Amino acid sequence: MAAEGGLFGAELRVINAGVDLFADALGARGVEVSRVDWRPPVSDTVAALWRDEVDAANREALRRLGAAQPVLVDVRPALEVVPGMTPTTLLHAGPPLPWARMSGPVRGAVIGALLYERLAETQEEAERLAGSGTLTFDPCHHHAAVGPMAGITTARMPVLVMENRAGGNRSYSTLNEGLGRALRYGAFAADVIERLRWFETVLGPALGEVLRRIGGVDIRSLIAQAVQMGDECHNRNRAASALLIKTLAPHVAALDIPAVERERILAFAAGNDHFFLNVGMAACKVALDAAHGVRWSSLVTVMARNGTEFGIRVSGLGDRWFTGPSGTPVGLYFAGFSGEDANPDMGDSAITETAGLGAFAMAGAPAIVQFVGGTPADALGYTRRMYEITLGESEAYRLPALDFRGTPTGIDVRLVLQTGILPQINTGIAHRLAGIGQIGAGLVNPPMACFEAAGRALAAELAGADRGSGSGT
Amino acid sequence: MVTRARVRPDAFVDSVALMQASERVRVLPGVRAAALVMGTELNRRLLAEAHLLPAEAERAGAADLVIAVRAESAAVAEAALGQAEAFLAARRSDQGPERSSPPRSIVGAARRLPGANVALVSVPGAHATAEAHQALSAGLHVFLFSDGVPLADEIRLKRRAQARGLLVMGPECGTSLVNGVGLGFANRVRRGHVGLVAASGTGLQEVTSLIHRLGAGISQGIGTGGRDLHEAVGGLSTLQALSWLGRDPETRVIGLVSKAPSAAVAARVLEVAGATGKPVVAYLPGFHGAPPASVLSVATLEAAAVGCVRMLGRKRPRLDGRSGRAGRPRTGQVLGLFTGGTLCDEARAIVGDAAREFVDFGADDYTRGRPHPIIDPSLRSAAVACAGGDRRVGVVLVDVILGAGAHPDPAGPLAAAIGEARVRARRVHRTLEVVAHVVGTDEDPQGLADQERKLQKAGARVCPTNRLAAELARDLVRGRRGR
Amino acid sequence: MQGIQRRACQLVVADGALLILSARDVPLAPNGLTLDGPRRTLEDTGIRVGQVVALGGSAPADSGAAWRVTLDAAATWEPCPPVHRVLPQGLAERLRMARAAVVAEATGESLLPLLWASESDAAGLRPGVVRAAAAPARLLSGAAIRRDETSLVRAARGLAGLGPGLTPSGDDLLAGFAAAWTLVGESLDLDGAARRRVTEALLAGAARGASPLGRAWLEHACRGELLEPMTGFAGVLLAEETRDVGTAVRGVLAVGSSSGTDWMVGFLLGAGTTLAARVRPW
Repeated sequence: MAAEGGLFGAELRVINAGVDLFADALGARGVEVSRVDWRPPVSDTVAALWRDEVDAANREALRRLGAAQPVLVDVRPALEVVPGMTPTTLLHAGPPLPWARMSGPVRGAVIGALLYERLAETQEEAERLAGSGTLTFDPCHHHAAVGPMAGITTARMPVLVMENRAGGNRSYSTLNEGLGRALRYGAFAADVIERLRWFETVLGPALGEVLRRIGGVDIRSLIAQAVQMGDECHNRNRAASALLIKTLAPHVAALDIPAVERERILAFAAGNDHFFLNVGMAACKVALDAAHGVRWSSLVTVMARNGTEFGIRVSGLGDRWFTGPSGTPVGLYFAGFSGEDANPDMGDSAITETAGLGAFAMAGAPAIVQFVGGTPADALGYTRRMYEITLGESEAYRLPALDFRGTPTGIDVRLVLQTGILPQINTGIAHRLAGIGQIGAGLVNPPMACFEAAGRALAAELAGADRGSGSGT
Repeated sequence: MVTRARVRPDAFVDSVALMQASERVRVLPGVRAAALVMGTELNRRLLAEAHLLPAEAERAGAADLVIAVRAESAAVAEAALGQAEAFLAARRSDQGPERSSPPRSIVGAARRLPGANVALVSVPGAHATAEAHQALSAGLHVFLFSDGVPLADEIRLKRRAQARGLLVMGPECGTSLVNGVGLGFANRVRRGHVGLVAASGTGLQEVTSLIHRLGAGISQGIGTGGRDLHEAVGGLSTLQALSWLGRDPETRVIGLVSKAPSAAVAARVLEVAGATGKPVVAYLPGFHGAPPASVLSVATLEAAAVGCVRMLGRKRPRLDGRSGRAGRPRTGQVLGLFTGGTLCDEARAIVGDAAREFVDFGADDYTRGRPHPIIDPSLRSAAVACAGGDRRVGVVLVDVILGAGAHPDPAGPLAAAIGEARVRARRVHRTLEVVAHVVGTDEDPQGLADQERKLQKAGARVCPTNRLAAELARDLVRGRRGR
Repeated sequence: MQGIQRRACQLVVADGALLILSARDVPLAPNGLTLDGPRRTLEDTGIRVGQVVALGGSAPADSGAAWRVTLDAAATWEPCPPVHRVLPQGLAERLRMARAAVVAEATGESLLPLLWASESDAAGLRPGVVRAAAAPARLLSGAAIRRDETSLVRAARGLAGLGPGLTPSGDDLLAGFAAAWTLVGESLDLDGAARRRVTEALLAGAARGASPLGRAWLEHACRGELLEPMTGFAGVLLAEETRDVGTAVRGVLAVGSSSGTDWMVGFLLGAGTTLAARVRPW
């Protein structure tokens, strides 16, 4: 450390928080001043969180997040690869949620999954079984997995296997079913189940084979390209899906399976603009898992909703969830639907925002902002606002519209509590009844209660450590 | 300067349009002020206070739009009014979230200002600790103006800063001069070779201003907050600043100023100061320990300034003498009405038993819910005016503090109050003496000479230092006994 | 016809009441009629201040009406939010979340700093309007808790008509304050007569100084009738089960440029005093 802390003799550059008078006086003397648009923090807990331990931990967590190299290496049945998976386990999106508190679409997806797994033959039987207590319901996030919307994942479903080449950890996600009627929105009609079986018998094995042959696909550079092509990789995956299919197609064509199946695979992939969504989510998850578990870090590593509650997890706070009521998105509804029909927000897909994509990268995806009646200038505004609550900027994902600045990355609980600015999330809107599917898209924020609870928990840990070491004053 | 207004009785206009239009008018060349508001009674009163309500607008009603402009000339004002109407008529274009919005946290602001090195924090006291810690996390030195910060928080902040090689100036730090730039309330002083550390804002202002008047200058003036030399804080910031000054090649003499320090801490601080190898002048009221050989201990702020300049090698630095003779003693005692705490303490000690009462309007009891008297001296002015009717008061002793951040013309309202006080005194057939000292320099925006003249015109005796003012006030009432 | 803006205009009815005619994308008001038809601005219609407008029914041909608004196909909406009994602790928590959302989300110049002005020391409040509003706003809160009607009238007089805009900031603040006393008071089961004394003192104080529209909305607020986004917010705040207040708050903040924020500041100050009055009844 320099003797004078670099202060004496340096050019004075001042941050002003509070009375404008002093900033005016400095400005008049030609001193560069940056003025904070100051408001009181959300909770006074935050004063206890600005500490060197937390600063250092956040630097480390952010380093790990940025260093992660997600590579899509395989597709395998969940039972084979997902840690802790059993034939009677149902993974769901968001924080823990018992059957009794599940919303309509999540229940629908559970029923569909039980029919698919042949654990039940009829809807009634499935409902009875779900309520019987013999099944294990557990969040995807407890198993290094993520699932969009209901996020229901069961043993026989093929899952993407994402490997972090920098850290060695892996993550998992199901294959995207496309728009329209889908299990993730709670649909469980015969065609939905049939498609899942085709995933299991044809699509999954074929993609797995291709990925093993080519040694995996570097997803980080793929996302980096897609962000420059107008995707934010949450509500818009068009470019990323095309890039992924472009990479896989020649190898699918070379597979030793019936031509009709090869055609169906390519047609399915080409017809699904969200083919990449689950891949992107798994890539975000593997990077954030690498950043999880840094003691004292206030970096948010999970934001997820289960259709009832919104939950976050924080790098330095272990396996704990901090939850609050899930909000209803504000956005545009498809013809014939309105806010009355909307289910509270759901899905693990907010993992993209947690990793600096989605609404955080909206400046690169102006098309998305139309969902809330905004303009391209609004899109820039959303991204700019997120820099206020993030620890850093992505090295890999850069935004042409902001002069190739990296996307805001690494949500800091402290900055959320200090500024009161909540993370912005792009989201699809599900109908509150099972099986109807997506009825719109828009924007949503987590409840502040999650961040307040996390802040209190971290403050308590720090205080406990102070008492333990006797270093407190 | 002329003011013109138009009243449009016909229509309401939405407030975004009004605000945008008034902003656009305000920046037109030659325009000094502009406002577009609905003509409600309160708005008209606000306009009147801002000298923006000419006769033609006085009768505007609540449903009328008032467009008012003050400008250099009638032509400019009329043109601006026309422009304002044109702005209102113009279709609002798509606004979009325009320019990027200002940063919402110190961390965010620091990210936008590369090379940022100091955070100036003046938020309400309850939130100040969080902001200061946040600034440390952002790697910034902290100038903490806010008061009401608990002692335990201060200690934790300073310890943390010290470990990171950062400096916390404050809490309740009124002034610092870093690299020649004033933070908070600060006077414009020459740069030079005296480095000061002060656990007293107005003390630092007095000493730096006097050094400037003596023709010397300041290398650094570091405020540390009034409690820094308390036992519990242990002089954390003072020690840190001393060690920096010790190594600073620009600093040849070190000055130390504090409100009454803890004896143990003062001894330790003097020891460290002595060990810098540079000559040290210390004003530590109430401390009577033996200082190291290289330390000159002084009894007044004036002596501290003179001592520092002498240590620079100047021969017999002098300030002008007192203002007039004490003469025949006055009846009554000395009432001290101060805006600077250290000045108040120093004067009270000098006046001694001739004091009726000494009030520091910068103390917590007077600043709760209102600006510091250096910004808004109206409470003190009112007290001065009242003193005229108090038979027990023979002399009123006041300070006036100039500099950046201070009231643009503190002597103006004070002079008016002095006039009123003297009228009141005359009504009861007494004379009231007013003794004043102005802290500041000829380079301050208010102008030292100008401010002193205003007070003299009002009949006050103006002294060049706080010590001289206090002594004159004392002698005015003691007179006979004094000589 | 009393005033015209781009997307709304105000009519004075025979009995002195103020009615608003607005284009479709303007929030519904308790005294408002939304015009059916294309979304063009009202200025384009050629309607002018001072003209006579006939409303509904069949005005006689010689009434001199330059315009006629028919109400045949009109639908109505409910400007009063549903109010449930909420426990004071639960309500305090919801209000805290609402305050956090307001503090964080409000943009532009408004009376927002009043929410922390009471705790500020030297923090020289910047915009002149805020500085001018600080003292009466403090008086308003204190007087409401003490049910000191004389001071309430004085405080309301100090705020009414303060600031720029169609509804000056002070008017919006008063309307929010009154809405809180009416609705939060009802939810907390405060004595109705006592509540009315507070709102009537506000009305009396604002009678002269407020802008015509501001006064009209204050009167409605005293009856628990609000603009559409405010109705939505109050409905969420006083709902039986806990819901996400943040989204509802954002809806209110979007009203006007500063109107929504000023109203929320008034509502939060009012709700705080209502809670305090409930805890310390006298």
